Amino acid sequence: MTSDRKASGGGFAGPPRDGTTRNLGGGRHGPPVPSDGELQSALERRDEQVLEQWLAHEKGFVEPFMRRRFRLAREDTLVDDAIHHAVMQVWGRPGLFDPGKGRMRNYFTRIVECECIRRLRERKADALVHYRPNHLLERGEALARASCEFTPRLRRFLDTLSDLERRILAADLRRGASVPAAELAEEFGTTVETVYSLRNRAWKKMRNHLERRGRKP
Amino acid sequence: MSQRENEPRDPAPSAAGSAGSSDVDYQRDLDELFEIPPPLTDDEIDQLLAQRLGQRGRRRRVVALACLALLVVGLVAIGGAARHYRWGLQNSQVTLPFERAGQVLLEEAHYSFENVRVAQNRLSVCLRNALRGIVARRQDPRFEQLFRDVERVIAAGGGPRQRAGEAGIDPGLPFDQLLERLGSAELQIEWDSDDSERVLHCFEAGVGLIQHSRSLHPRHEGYGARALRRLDALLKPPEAPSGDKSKEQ
Repeated sequence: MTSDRKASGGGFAGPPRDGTTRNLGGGRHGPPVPSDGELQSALERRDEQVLEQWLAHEKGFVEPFMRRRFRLAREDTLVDDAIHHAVMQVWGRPGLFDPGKGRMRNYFTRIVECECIRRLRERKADALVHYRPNHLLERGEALARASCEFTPRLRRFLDTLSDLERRILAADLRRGASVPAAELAEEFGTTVETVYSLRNRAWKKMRNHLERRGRKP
Repeated sequence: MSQRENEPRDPAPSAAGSAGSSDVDYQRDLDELFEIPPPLTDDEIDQLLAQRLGQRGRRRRVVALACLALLVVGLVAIGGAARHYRWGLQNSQVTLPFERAGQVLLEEAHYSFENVRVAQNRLSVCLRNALRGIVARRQDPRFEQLFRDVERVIAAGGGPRQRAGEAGIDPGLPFDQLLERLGSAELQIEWDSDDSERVLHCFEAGVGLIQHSRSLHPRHEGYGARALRRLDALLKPPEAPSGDKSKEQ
């Protein structure tokens, strides 16, 4: 147990109260929060109750934190889905957590964050696939679209891209930047050279746009 | 930014499949374009979560401090009110001279006129205390009888008039005269000193005020001003500075 606690770190709210549990911040008035070591051993013996107890405490921090980080509305279920995914991962593959590398809280937060980013990329890619330039929209529809997924400024940039460029960007956004060009060429019914060329052109435009916008350091 | 500026203008991503640094840049640009924040490092996560915990603790402390401040303000307010109330009572204690009791009566009337019932209660208390002061000072048991009479007047109203009628005295007389007659007839009190005269005036004003307030709507506006004027006139000491000034002028 002592080695577990060593590995789990001191926690944010001081040392553990007794030999078996440690108390983290908000758990002062609720049931004791299991330590990382306890959680890991509970996961190995498939004890759901301990995981629930731990999650009840951690979710209160992680969820609002992620909502604020990704600027998501309260009714947006993206973070909930990501947390669910993270719980399933922690529950399904407990061996992936290495206490030597950090705390369970960080591990869990990292999974949630990665999942949020992945889902956000997917969402943006979907919107990009179905994107219609402003000049093809009716006035009312253009106004309605302007307040949706993309900001007016980004829409102005996307209007400068060709349809195939946008689809390449969407595919890259969805599947990561290292999608083989041959795969995309086959998917879009074009040549590998065209994909290279369009991707390069789109990236160049993108960099110019970001630099004009004032890229963050 | 400067690092980026040093890179070649033509990015030429290695899109053939190898995950080179240009792929990383490309992905970063894509994320930046679509406003997807980059993943945090372990240290950043630690820092931000700790910050959040700190904020929560700070918020708790602020709320606790605000509650404490409210409690203190509330206690001070209650203490102030209680002190004022006690001040009124203390200043009309038995040991005070009659003039002071009259002043307190006047101040209390001034102070409490927003609420007629409170004014009544305060006046009753002040009247009783004033008379107690007289009783204690004069050490005359007959004043005690008078005190009881006035108490009865305050409690029910009209007691002395009824008794005056029974004693064959005109019950329609002004209250001070009525009391004087009653006192003379029944208790043989001599009402020749200034303070006893004032006490009667004071009682007359106070009791009249109370009786008058019973016949009026509690929110009658003229009530307070009129009663105050009466009290003011009756309780003004003869050597008032305004009179002296006018004489000097």
